[in-house]
Amino acid sequence: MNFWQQHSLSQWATRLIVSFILIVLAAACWIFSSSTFDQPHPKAGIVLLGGIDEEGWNAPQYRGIHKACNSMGIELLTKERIIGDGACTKAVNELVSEGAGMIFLASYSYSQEAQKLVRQYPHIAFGTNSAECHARNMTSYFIRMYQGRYLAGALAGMHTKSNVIGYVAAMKNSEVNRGINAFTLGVQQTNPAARVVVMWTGNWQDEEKEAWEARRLIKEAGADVLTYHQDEPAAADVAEELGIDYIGYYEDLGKHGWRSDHVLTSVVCNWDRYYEDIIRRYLKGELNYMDKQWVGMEAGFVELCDFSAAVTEEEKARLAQIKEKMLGGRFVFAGEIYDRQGKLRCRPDESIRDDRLLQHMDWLVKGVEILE
Amino acid sequence: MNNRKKMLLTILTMLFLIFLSGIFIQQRIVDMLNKAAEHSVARQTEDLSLLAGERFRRFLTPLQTASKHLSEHEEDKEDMLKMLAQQNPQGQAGLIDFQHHTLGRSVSSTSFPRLQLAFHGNTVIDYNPDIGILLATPVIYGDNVRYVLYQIYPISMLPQLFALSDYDAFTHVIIQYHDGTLAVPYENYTTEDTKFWADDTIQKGMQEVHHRLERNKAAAVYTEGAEGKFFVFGADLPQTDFSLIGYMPWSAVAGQIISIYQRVVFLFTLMLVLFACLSIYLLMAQTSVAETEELRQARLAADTANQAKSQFLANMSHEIRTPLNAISGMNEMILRQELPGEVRQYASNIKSATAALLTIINEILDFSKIESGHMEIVPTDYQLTQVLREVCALVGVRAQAKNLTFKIHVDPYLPNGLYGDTGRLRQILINLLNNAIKYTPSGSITLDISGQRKDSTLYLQAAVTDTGIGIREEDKERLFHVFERLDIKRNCQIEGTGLGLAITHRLLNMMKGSIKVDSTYGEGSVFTIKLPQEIHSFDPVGVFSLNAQPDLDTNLRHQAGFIAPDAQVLIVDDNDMNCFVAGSLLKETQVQTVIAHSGDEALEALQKQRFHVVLLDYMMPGMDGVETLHKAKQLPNVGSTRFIALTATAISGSREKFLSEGFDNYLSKPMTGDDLTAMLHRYLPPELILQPLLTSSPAPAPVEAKEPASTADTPPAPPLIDHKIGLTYCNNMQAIYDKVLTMFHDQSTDKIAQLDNDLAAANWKNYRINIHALKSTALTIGCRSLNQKAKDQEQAVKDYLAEDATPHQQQQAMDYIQQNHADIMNLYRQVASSAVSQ
Repeated sequence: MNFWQQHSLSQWATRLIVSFILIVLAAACWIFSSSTFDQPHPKAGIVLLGGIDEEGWNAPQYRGIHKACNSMGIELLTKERIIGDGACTKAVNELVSEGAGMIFLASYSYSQEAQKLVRQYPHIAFGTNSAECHARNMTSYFIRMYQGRYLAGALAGMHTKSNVIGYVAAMKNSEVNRGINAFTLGVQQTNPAARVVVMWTGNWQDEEKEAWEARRLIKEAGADVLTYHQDEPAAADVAEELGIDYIGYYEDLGKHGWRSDHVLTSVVCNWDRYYEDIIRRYLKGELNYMDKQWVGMEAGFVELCDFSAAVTEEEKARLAQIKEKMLGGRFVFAGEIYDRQGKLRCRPDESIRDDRLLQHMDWLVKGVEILE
Repeated sequence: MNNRKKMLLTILTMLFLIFLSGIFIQQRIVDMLNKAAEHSVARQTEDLSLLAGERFRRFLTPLQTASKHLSEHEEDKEDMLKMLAQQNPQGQAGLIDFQHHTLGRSVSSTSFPRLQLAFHGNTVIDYNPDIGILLATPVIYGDNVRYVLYQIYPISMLPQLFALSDYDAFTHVIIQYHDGTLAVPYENYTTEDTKFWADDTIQKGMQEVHHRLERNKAAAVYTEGAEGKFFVFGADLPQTDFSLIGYMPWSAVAGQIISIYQRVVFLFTLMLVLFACLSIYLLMAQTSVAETEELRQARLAADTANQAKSQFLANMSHEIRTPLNAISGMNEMILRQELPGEVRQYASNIKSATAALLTIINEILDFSKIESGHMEIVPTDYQLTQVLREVCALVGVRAQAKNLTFKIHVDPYLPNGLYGDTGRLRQILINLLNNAIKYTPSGSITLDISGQRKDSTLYLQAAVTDTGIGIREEDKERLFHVFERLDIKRNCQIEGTGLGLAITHRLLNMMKGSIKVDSTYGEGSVFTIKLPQEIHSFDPVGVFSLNAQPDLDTNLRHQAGFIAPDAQVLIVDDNDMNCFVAGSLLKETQVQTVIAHSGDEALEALQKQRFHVVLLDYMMPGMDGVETLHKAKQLPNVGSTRFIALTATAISGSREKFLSEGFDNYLSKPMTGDDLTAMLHRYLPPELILQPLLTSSPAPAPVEAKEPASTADTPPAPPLIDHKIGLTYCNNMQAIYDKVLTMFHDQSTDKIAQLDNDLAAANWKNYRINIHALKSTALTIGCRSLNQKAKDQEQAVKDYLAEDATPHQQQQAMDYIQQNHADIMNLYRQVASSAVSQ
C-alpha cells in the first residue's frame, strides 16, 4: 500500500482542519500578545555646534544627554558640527522626520533660527540654552554655573600672590558676564585686594586667539591664576605650559594625568543629571508649561572637581564654609553690589531675581578690569 | 483502532491548545482591558491634577496681589498682612526679608527650606508635615527681591481647604507630598481609610504609580488584593512638590467593559464547543470510514475464503465424481446384459445407491451454492413414482438397518408426470427421511405423499411421520438454523452436519414451497412439506409399491434411440475408465469412436481424420479441455465438428462458462447412456442418424412386436384417439394435450416391454398396476377403445388375483389375459404411433 492510500481523504481533511485551527490560534495569540497600549517609543534629539568628541562644551553635553537618555530608556538622535546659516533648521527638520519628540539646541548660536523652528513645530518640545528665546514649546535650560564660578573665584582669591587673576572670556552676553561677576564676587569674598583681568576673544571657539589672550594676561597683566569661558580649554593649555595655576571650566581637566597640580580645580556641570531631569519633565509633559529650568549646586548639578595638591586644607575648609553659606541663603547676587560704573545694582537687603540674572546681566561688577 | 487513538489524541491536544490559548487570550484581554482602563483613568487623573493645581493657585492669587501692592507701597506691610488675614482667615500671613526678619506669622527657613528660593524671584509652595502648607511669593523692587510674602495653612485646615471633592461615591483622592507623606486627606478620613491605604496591594499600587509618574503626567494601576479590585491612580500637581493619589473600585471603571469581556469569553466558549462537536463528528466519520475499511477487508477475506472453499468443493466434487462415474457406468453396462433376476436386483440397487450418493455429493455442493446465492432450480419433466422409488430405495435400506419400519402411502390419483426440479425434490425427501431415521431409535417412519391439484399445478404434499424423540416447543424456532443441532446432550451420538434441514428449508423457499413441523416431545414428529409442481402428465400414480421391480427394470433397461454407424466420435479423457465407459455407452449406437488420452493425442487424431462430435474432458493433465479446444479450433478440418465438454465439476454457471469458451454443450459426469445418446442425437448430422432396428430392442415378445407393423397396414379405422375427450382431461389446453400425447408415445415402448415382461414372469401384481395405469392414461389421451380393453384386462387380472376365485375361474381369467394381451399391446402401439403422427 502506498502513502496515499493509507491516508484517506478524511484524514487529510482532519489534518487540514487541525492546521487551520492551529493557524487561527497562533494568529489569535499573536494579535493579543502585541499590546496596543504601549507608549510610542520616545526619541530625543540634540543639535551640537561642534563634534561630540570635542572636549570643553560639546563632548560633556553629548555625554550628559547620552547617559540621561540611556538611563531613561529613550533613543537619542545626534546632529553634530551644525555650523552656518540654515544648518540648524536643516538638522531640526531631519530630527523631526526621524521621530524626535524633543530637541535640544545646544548652542547660543542657534537662537535666531530657533525662533522660527518653535513656531514651525508646535508639537515638538524644544530645549535651548539661549535665554533670549521664548515660546510655549521652548524651555530655556540652564544651570546656576555662576555658583561654581563664585566658589572658583573664592579659591583664586585665596591662591593668588600677584593679586592679579586672568579671565579669558568669549563674548559679552548675560552668561559670560554672569560668570565673570560671580567669579569676581567670589574673589572679593576671600581677597578684596585682588583684581580680575578679563580678555575678550569675541569667539566661542578660536584656539589661537584664546592662547594669545591667555599669554597676554600672564605676560602683560601679570596674572598668576587663570580661568576662562570658552568652548575649549586652550587657555588652560597655555597656563599649564607657562606653569601658572588655573581653573578649568565645563570639564574636569585634572582627570587628564598629563596636567600638573597647577590645575587647582574645574567647575563642572553634571549634564547627565541635568538632562535626565529635563527629559523626565518632558516625558511628564511639564516641559512646555515652564519658561526656564534653572537649578544649581543645591541639586548637585554644579560642582567643583577634586582639588589638586596645590590647594591647602585651610583653603578647602574656607571654600566649604562659603558653599554652606551660599546654599543657606547667602546668595551670590544678593546684598550690596555695585557695577564698574559705580551704580548700585543690589541693595544690602535685596537679592537679584533670576529673570534679571538670566537675561539682563549686561553689566560687570566693580573690581573687574578689562585688558584692551 | 490505532487511527482512532491518534484521532482522539489529536482532538485532545487541540482542545488543550485551544484551552491554553483561551486562557492566554483571556488573560491578555483582561490585561488589555485593564490597561485601557488604566489609560482612561490616567487621563481623568490628569484633568483632576490640573483642577488640584488650580486650587493651590487660587490661594496664591491674593498673595501675589498683595506682593504687587507691596512692591509699590513698601510701607503698607502691616496693612497687607491684615488684609490677607481678613481675606483668608485660615492662612496665617507673614513677611520675611532677606535678613530673615519676619513680620506677622513667624517662620524659620529650616521648617520650610524652599522658602528662601522665593528670593530668586520664584513663587514657592512648601510643606511641613507638622506645620502645614506654606505658600510664598516674592516682593520685587526693580530687578531685585526685597521681601517674601507668605501664608501658612495649618494641618488641621488642609482637608477643608485643599481636599479634592470626591470623584464619585466610591472614589477617594488624597494629596501627598513628594516624599510620600500624606499631606491632604479627604474629608471624613478615618482609621479605616488609614488601614485601607496601608494595605499591601494598595501600597504596591501607589509605588507603581509613583514609579510611572517619573515619566508620565498621570498614571493609573490596576490592583487586586485583599481589599478587592481597584484602580490606584495619581498625578503630580504642576509646579508643586505635591501629587494627588486616589483609588476607585474596578467595577466603577470596568463595569461597562466587563460585559464586552463576558461576551468575548462566551464567544470563545462557543467556539470551543463547536470545535468539540466538529471533532466528535470527525472522529465518528473517521471511525466509520475505518470500520467500512475493516468491513471491506473482512469481506475481501471472506470472499477469498469462500472462493477457496468453492474451489475445494469443486475439486472434491471432481475427485469423487470420477470414480463414481466409473461405478455407475460399469453398473449400467451390467444392467444392459441379460441377467438373472437376483443379479439385476443387486445392480439396480447399485444404480439407486450411486444416484443417491451423487445426490449427496451434490447436496454438499448445494449448500455452498445456496450460501453464495448460486443455487439454480432446474426444472425438468419427471415421474413422481421414479423419484419416490429412488428415495425409498435409499432410505428403505437405512431404515431396515436400524430395524425401523418404513411405510409409504402414495395417493394413487396423483398425476405421475410432473415438471419440477427432481434433484431438489429428491434431496428434500431424502433429507427429511434421513432425519427421521436418525432421530428415531425404534418404531416406524411413514412417508405420506398426497397433493391438491389446482389447474395445471399440483401442490405436492409430503409428510414424514416418525416415532422418534420429538422436538421441544422452544427448539422449533431454531430448527432450520445452519449447523444448529438441538438437544445436544441427548443427540450426541447422532451423526450429521446439521445442514440438512437448513438446506431443505432454503430449497423449499426457493421453489416457493413451505415446511411445517408438528411434534410431541418424546413421541415423534411430523414434517410436512408443500411444494407446487406443474403437471405435465395426468397419468395417475396408481398403487405405489416399494417392490415395483419391473418398473425399475424397464426404466433401467436401455434402448438406444438411434444408430449412426457412419458417425465419427472422438472421446478425449485422461482416465481410461471414463473412456471405456463412454465408449461402452455409445456401443449400441454403432458410432465409430476413437479414444484419445490427452489433448495432444486429441489434436493428432483431429488432424488425421474428421470427426462429427468430440467429447472432450474438461480437466486433464497437461493441456486441459479449454486449451485443447482452442488449439483444435485452429485446425483445418474441424469447421463442422461439434465439441462437447465432459466435466465432473458440476458447479453452477458451468454451462455458461463452457459455452463462452467455445464448447457446443457439456455433459456432467457421471453421465448416463441416455444423456450421452441424446447429446449425440442432437449434434450429429441428421443424415447420419438411422432408425434403430427393432430387433435390436430387447423386447421379450418379438412376435407381438412385429404385429404393430401389420396392424399399421390395415386401412385407417375411425380415429383411435378422440381428441375431445383427451382435451377435456387436459383442461382444454392444447399444449398440454400435445405434450401428453408425445409422452404417451414416448412411454409406450417401455410400457409394452414392461407388460410383456410381467406377463412372461407371471408377475400379476405389477401387471395389474401397469394395466391399470394404461387404462387411465388411455382415457387421458382420449382413446376409449384402449381404455376399455385395458379395463377388461385389469378386471381379468383382478379376477385372477381374487382370493375367493376358484381355480377354474382363475384359469378362465388367465386364458382371457393370455389371449387379449397381444391385442392390447398392438392397439397400444398403434395408438402410440398415431398419437405422435397427429
